[in-house]
Amino acid sequence: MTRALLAVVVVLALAVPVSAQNLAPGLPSQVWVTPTFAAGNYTANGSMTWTVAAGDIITNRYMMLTPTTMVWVFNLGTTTVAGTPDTELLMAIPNGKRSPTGNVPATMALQIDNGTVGIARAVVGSLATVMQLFTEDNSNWAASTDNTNIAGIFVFEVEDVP
Amino acid sequence: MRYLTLALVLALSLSPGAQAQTVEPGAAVPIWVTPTFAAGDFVGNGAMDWTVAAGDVLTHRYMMLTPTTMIIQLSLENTDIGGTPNNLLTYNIPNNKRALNRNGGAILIADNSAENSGRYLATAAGTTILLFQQVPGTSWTSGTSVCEIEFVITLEVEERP
Repeated sequence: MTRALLAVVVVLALAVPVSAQNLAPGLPSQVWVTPTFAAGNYTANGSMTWTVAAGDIITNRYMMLTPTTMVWVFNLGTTTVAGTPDTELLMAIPNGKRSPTGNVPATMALQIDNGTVGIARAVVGSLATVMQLFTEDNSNWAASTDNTNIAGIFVFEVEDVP
Repeated sequence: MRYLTLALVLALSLSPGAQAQTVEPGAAVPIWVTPTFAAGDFVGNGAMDWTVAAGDVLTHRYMMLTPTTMIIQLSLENTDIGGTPNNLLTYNIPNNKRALNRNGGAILIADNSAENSGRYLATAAGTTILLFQQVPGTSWTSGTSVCEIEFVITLEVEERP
């Protein structure tokens, strides 16, 4: 009887997922995720248009490092900018997240603006659900056909969009 | 009876409730913290003055991702440069930490209101992060509400002695 009890206890104990045993309580699973492609996740300000096709996405991955910290890696190639040139390319933050109140994280990204290599400014405004991508000097993005690229890695504080 | 004792010991040591026993003491869920504003955390080198008012701070947050890994988000706008222009702005690392080793990279800046990229440098055992313009040795430009600094930096840190 006691041997049977021992067997049951051991089986139950080992049934706990190994990953859960290795994480502090409350931490997310910390796995990299590829968001489902949606053309509507890529827009622009004013009357400028930014067209990103599924095939343009070299990398788009995120990980919830903590419940409020996202690491987001993206590399978009051969995208198209059209319409009336303006200053912001906009990428929807994945996983239904936004920047918390009063929080404006910013970092750098690499750009190819109609063939010209440079540095872009990546900014997420307070409560924003999109990342704004500016050229280094805040000038307009150039119109291009399959000749605008953006790549970067961003670590920032997030919260759920209510 | 001894099998029952063994079973109880195993159950206690392997059950979900025992997770905390297998996690390092510092491995609690990290949280973001806003440091108390202190004008003295922002200083120019030499005779240059860097004046950052509380209202200039759009974002100032840090998180101890691990006991020795700090992520800092800083976004400042409309800060003032005065005195004798020089090449270095310094930012005090929060939470009584200092950099464990040399670490550098790119940041976003505006000098004389012109947006550009710049550089940061943390030095081994340094308690501040050094903020440069893109070209080494270039002085920051004097003026009111002309300087902007933005970055997200990950540092390996240790307690200040």
